[in-house]
Amino acid sequence: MIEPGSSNGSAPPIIIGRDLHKIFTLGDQQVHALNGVDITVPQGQFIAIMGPSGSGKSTLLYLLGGLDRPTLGDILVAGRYLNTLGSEGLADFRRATVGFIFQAFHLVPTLTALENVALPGVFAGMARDLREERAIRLLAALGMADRLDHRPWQLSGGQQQRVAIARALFNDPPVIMADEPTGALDSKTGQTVMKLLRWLCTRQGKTVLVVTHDSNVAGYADRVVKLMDGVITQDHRRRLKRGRSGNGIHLPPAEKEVMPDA
Amino acid sequence: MFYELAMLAINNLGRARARLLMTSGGVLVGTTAVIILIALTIGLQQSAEAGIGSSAALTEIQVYPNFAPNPDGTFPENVPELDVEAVRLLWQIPGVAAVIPMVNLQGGELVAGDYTGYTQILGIDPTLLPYLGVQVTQGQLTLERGQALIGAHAGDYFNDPESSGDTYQPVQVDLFNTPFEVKLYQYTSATPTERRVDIIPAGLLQEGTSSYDYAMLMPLEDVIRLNEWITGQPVDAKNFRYDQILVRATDREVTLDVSAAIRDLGFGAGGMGDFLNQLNSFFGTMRLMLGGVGGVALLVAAFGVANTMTMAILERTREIGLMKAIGASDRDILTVFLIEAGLVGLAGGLAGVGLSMLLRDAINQAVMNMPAESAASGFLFLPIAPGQVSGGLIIIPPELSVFALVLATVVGLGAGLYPSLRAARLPPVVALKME
Repeated sequence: MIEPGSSNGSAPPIIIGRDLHKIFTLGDQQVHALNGVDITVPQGQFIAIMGPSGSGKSTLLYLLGGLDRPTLGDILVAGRYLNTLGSEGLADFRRATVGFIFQAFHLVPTLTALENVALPGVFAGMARDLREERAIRLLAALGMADRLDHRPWQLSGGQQQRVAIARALFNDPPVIMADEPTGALDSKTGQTVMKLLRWLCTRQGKTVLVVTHDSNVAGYADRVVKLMDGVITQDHRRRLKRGRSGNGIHLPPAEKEVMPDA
Repeated sequence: MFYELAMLAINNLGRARARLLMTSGGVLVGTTAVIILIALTIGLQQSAEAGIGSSAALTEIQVYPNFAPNPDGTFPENVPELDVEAVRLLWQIPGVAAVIPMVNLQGGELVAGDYTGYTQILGIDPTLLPYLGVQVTQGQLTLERGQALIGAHAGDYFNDPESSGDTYQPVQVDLFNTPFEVKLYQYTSATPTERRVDIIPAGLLQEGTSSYDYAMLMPLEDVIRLNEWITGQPVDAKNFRYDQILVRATDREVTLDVSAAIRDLGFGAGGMGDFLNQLNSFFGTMRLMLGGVGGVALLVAAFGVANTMTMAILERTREIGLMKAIGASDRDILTVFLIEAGLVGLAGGLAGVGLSMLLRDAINQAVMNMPAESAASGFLFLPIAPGQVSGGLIIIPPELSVFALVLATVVGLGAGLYPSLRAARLPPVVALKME
């Protein structure tokens, strides 16, 4: 387990991106999604990547998470140089290092909440009882102990996203990456999810990257990076208001009643 | 891990049940076609063999002097004849269990009380009887001097020479239990001399096991001696000719080789064994052809499986991206989809085997109940009358079922390979962004 993180910037960097370029070819047109991005994220930082649609913010997240390869540039995450990894190596990297959370949750519809959470353990080759025990613990910690055998369609949006977060945490990765995690949720549920991510950063020492275009969401971050047309236009470290990053944040299960079920 | 991936695959199969049923249905039809068509050739072959003769017939080769013209149209000179030397040469062929030379008695009028009849009387070396492929129903399979083994139907066409009227009235005489004698004539002088020889039945041959139903077997020496009397000429070992030579191969696999070796010696060779072995290769070809027809149905089913897998992968592209995002390797994805495809094939195969067994029972029952005449007209192209076949027209050996199951699974796997590889190689970000 990583030591509880600090947001003072003195922690060692866990993510380094150097001169990142990404060029997509659409028909006979070349689109520069990223045009020379340099970014360093210290361990334990909560960073929000903002920008309008097409600014390249999701592309940056996917590059740093090993879901895509840069056209040009170097990426080093948790001591691994992603440029040299093959597809098996990248799968390995993703399994061990990054927990992904998506706007559309991306739960497997045929599996129960428990099985969805335990799915990363399947690909990690973990024994069944170990997997289930761990998945139950995570779901219980997220206030989902009574929803273990529910299928995704039997769960509300907020509950689905909590299942997705539990899944992202399953392999205890040092980095959590979330692409518009509140985009499909109402504002109250969205706040609960953001508090949860904040808690993971503050209390569990996870490094959290959130892509969003919602400035409320960015309010939970230690640092806000703004992208425009594939380049960073602003890199802003912020001091959080007391009570958001301080000890005032509680473990999510205590807030279970607050979460809307709809 | 494989177990978990297989469980994922099975879960996935439950998603689009109607599609799964239809795709497996295609494999079912293909598998059933392969099984039934191959089973038909197996049934026909076994019926043909059962109809043609006993297993002894399969190793039997008739040797005769080959007077057939050469390929260039000329006639061969010095055709080897069935003499003592020929017997010696035939014994030396590898795979020969016995060489059985035989001599015809020159005359064969039998007299049993008031009735007379004719039959072929063959002289055979009694020590070679075990190689002749014959059984007795009464008496013993031995031959002493003055004895005879009697063909099952040798006494069927006797008649009373003194009976009035023009119509021939055959009378059946039980030669095994009725005393009889052979009437012989010597034509060396102007007036033929008649001689009657008493014959003691040693055994009655079983019907249908050999080509001796209407014949009688006697010791070779007896027959040669009687022939000497008939012709008035003593037998000269140098000029002596056998009337026929039967070669028994050690087993049916070598029968064709032995036949070829006999032809190499310049003799003609034929017989049921030869014929049946050729029949076997005919059925082998037929099996390949009909199996190929079934294979075409299976090939069509393969396209169905490929289509279904491609659709499934299109539908689940984002899920594939998700699985990769949470740590699934290309190999994991490939395994899940290949198992799905293989299961589609296996399910179709299992259903196909089941359906084939039902069809087999139904067809065999129908053929069994078919009146002989309509069977003959309906199955005129068959070398047998199916109604008389006890084993059934459709025979599915266990190996055929297993083969069909494996084939169906392999077809599923093969058809699923390309779509599965494509799924496995999808870049995760592309898969995730797919709408």
